[in-house]
Amino acid sequence: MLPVPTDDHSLVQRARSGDERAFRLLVERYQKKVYAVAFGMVKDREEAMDVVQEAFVKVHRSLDSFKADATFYTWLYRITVNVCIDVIRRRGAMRSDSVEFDERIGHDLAEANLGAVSSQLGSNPEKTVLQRELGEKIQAALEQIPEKHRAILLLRELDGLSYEDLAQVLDIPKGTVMSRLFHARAKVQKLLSESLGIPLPPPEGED
Amino acid sequence: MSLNPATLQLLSAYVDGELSAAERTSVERALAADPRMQEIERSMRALGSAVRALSEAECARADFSGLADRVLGRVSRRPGLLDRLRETWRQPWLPIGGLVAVAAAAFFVFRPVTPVPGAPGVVVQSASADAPAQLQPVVLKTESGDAIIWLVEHPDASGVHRPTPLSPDKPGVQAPVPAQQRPRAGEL
Repeated sequence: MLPVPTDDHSLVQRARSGDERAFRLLVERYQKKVYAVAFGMVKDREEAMDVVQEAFVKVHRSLDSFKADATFYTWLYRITVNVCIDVIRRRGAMRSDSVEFDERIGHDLAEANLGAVSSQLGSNPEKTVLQRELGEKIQAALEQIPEKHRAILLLRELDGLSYEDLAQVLDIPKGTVMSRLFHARAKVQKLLSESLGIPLPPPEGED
Repeated sequence: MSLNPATLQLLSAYVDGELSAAERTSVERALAADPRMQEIERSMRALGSAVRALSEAECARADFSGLADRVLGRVSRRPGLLDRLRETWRQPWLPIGGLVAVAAAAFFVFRPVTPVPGAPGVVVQSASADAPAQLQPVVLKTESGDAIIWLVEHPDASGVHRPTPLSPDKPGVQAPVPAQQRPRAGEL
């Protein structure tokens, strides 16, 4: 007897025809990844878990509209990000206009002593960041950037989505992915260097 | 390669492994020549590692038990009315169909009423008579407030009404109109 295929597409096909077990496998396969993005976006455990549930319910209700040439996880992430944005909007915490990127950030990044951020994180940032204070500062920096920047940064760093996938998930051109990701990183690094109290280098010509 | 936003944007894409071979070579050359750029590259990579570490720590604390059951419990139930309306409204043809229906309804409700030639704005206000009376009064009121009172005989054997106009006895009541302008029985 041939083994039942368990790749995403096969599971989606089976779930479409009413196979609950197939859909359960999809939920269990992606729940952690979806939660990671949701928590990074909404910064609240309970709400993040609600987002995960809501995202999967929406996925199930739209199974018929899922296109065979699409990738399941890009579709799932797209729904997840939209649910997160709905939650944040309902909460009245949209700050996109107050922290929009401006062109100076690129220059600020070049001017600021951003190398010091990496020295603060040390050679083992995975370990260092778990020190409470540093972790909180990174979380705070992530919270201060616009949702669209936070979403792209999380999808890239947590799930390693390619620029092509990010363009699909966020429904933006690939060129925008590149600049948006850079802006997101620049913004977080600048906020982080400020909160870590890393001094800016002296103006040129001074000692 | 100077440290301007365009260069830093390329550096960010370099960290992500998303550059073409030519762009990669150009960035690597710049990295070799500029220690500040090396620091920024390290910083970008460190930030990525830090975000991943924080997320993994958070996921380790989260409780996923029963999540799939809760999801399946919700999808096996019939969605609420609001959810169904929301889903239905997402169908692309519905907003268009809805707008057409609303426009058509609005047209019929608010369209200007064209008056009947010869009897502009005349409405029957009342029509009543005492049982034994031979004549029935019919009051026609115009939109301008004027009134015309007609006495209509009971139908005779042929079933035809013969309207008899009354002379007005008070202001605002119009004089009898010539026979050719009188309403026919069928119009009443």
